[in-house]
Amino acid sequence: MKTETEYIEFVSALHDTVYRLARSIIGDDVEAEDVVQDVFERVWRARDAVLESDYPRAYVCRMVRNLAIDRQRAKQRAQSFSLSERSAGVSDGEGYINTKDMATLTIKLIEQLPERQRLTIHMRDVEGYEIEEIAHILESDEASVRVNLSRARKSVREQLIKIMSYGVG
Amino acid sequence: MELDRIKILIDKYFEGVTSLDEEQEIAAYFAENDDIPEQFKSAKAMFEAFGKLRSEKPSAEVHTPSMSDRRIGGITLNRRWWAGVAASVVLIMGVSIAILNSRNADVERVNATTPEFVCHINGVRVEDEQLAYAEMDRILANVSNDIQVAMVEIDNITNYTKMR
Repeated sequence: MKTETEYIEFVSALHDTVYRLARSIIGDDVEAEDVVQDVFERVWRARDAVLESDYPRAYVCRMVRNLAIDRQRAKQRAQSFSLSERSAGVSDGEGYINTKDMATLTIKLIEQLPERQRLTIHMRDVEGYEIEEIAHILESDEASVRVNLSRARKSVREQLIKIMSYGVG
Repeated sequence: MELDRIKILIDKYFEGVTSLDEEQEIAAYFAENDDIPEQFKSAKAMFEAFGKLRSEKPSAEVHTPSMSDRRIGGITLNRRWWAGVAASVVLIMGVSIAILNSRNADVERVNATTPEFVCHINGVRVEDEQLAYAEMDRILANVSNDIQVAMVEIDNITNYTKMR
């Protein structure tokens, strides 16, 4: 077993990532914080296995993913966020969208991606994980991760381009 | 020249084949340049969104279990909690001894055969005053040690929190 110092450093560095990942899956701040607590309890109990695994960060993120998905299913989140609804939320009433609003809109577009694409783009573009680690989190292979990543990025870009081209309002 | 390179990197980015370093290069370009070609605006919005998401943090500090915790029946208890419990036990023991001594004095007046000193430590009747005080010393030393260990660990955690 590694030292307590190494353990504390490890969990401290992962704290915000665990929260953001849980939030990206559940879409709720309070539920995400519950997942963080739950995950760190489990990490503590399985600390030997976690710290001695080849990809400790990926190990924890996989826990987060599984727990968050379980909670999400239990909650039966049913949202159908149409493009028109989102656009209305970022319009200034004159068909103009500024770049700050575009960032908010982009976050909402990411939230609506299929689960694997959403997790892939989150772990790569928000958390900065290597493709290899993301493959371990998703229990997939690197080629599939790259395909999902490319699809996710292109999907978000295409919707943004449509909104920019047609304007809003 | 920079634009040509950024265009190549952005094309690679959407194919999912850029490295983390290349992605940081794109992010730096967008952060430093407001006036960008129209074709890059959707990518800039995406990078801004990633930055915004990255700054999200939980509103409440979540307790992360560590070696300084003890678990009983599924409940996590830290050493500070234990130190509090131990201190309470010692206080109750001290009060109990005082009450018992007082009662003993009353009883002594009635019954000369009653021992001069009686107390209960962990449910065991002790009539030897020296033994009782030695046991009290040992318990107090343990509590003191636990508190010192807990304080060192709290200092460590506080230092980590400050470093983060």
